[in-house]
Amino acid sequence: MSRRDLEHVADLLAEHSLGVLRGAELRRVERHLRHCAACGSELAAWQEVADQLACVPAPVQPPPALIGRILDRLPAPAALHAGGRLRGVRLSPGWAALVLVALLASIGANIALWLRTESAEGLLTDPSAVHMVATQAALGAGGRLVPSMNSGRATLLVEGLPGLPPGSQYQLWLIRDGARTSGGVFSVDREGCAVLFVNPPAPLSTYSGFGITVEPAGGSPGPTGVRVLRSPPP
Amino acid sequence: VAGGSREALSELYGRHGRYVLGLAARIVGDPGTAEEVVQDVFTRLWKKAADYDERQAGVATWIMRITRNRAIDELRRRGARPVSEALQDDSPDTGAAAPEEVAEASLRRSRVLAALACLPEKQRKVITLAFFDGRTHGEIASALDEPLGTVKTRIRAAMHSLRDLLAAEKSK
Repeated sequence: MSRRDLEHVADLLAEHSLGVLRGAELRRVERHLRHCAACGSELAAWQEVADQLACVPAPVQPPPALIGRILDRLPAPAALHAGGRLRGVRLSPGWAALVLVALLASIGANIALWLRTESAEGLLTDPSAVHMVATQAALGAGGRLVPSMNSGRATLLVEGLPGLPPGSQYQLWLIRDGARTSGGVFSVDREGCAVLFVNPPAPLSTYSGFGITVEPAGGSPGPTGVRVLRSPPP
Repeated sequence: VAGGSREALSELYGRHGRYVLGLAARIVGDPGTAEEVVQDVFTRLWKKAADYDERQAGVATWIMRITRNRAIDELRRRGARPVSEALQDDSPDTGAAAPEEVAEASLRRSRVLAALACLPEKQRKVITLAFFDGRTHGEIASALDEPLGTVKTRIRAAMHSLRDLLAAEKSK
């Protein structure tokens, strides 16, 4: 250790906490910090100041599918396997993402019991789920409406829907005796995916059909726009 | 998370994802790249959770440090050098986070913005170039066309002022 290494580096620590040092200065600071607790403690104090700058940017709500992409990439096998395989059910990456988003949202809202099995599998294998099929207006899109066993609510998962211009949203319709009741409005992410928690006024099983149309943002009292998804005829 | 719980990672993401994306987007400047940074940050958290030492930093601080480092690495890898924007008080996206968490984060952010606003513009500029653009002493001096010694002095002065201002803001 050289005499230079023993000299305190307090005058460089504020800058070091921002990561601006390079070359000889950086090496000197790093060498000194290996054996000087006082400067280490001083650096920690400066680091606290620098750390606070991280909260300056406004938070940005991540797109719903992002958590699915993250979980898909994680190593180590589990019930939810990378690549979208879910206990023997082969999922497209989009579906896997949607299910995981739905689970995450349900945890966040403290409504885990709402889901039938508290697992992603329930959303995908539930025999009472209504599969929604695409119309000519949204070929390649798909949807599932999954009722909850423990409440009158349901979860709508859609994928492959085209993005809409500002001022428009998708709206879910619950159809009974020819009357259409809104099940909620939603927008899709860049991959055309969305999750909507539905609180229908009557049990889902009492409706004869379901549809999704394009409506002005915020929804319409009744369907006015093009239909993109519908439940198959009974 | 260290125990391999994906549910725990999801919860961590629910609490911190929006702040991670906000910081990443501010640094890399491109939404798509920022999302890649977020993916990478949470993958690293998953792999490195056992390395977390609560004596060194709080979880949020640890995550934001990883985010900044990863975003700056990406900026350097791409050779991108965005023109640093003035720090401004954008309206935060409150999203679906718990109201008390949003309120606390919003208060913390307001304090830092208030402290930064008190700095002379030249000091604010060097802090911005250092923290958000990941520039070194020399790079800042080149960008501002100022002598290296002047930049060093200005950064030190800015950090000392910031420390005092943040302490004063916190005691209010």
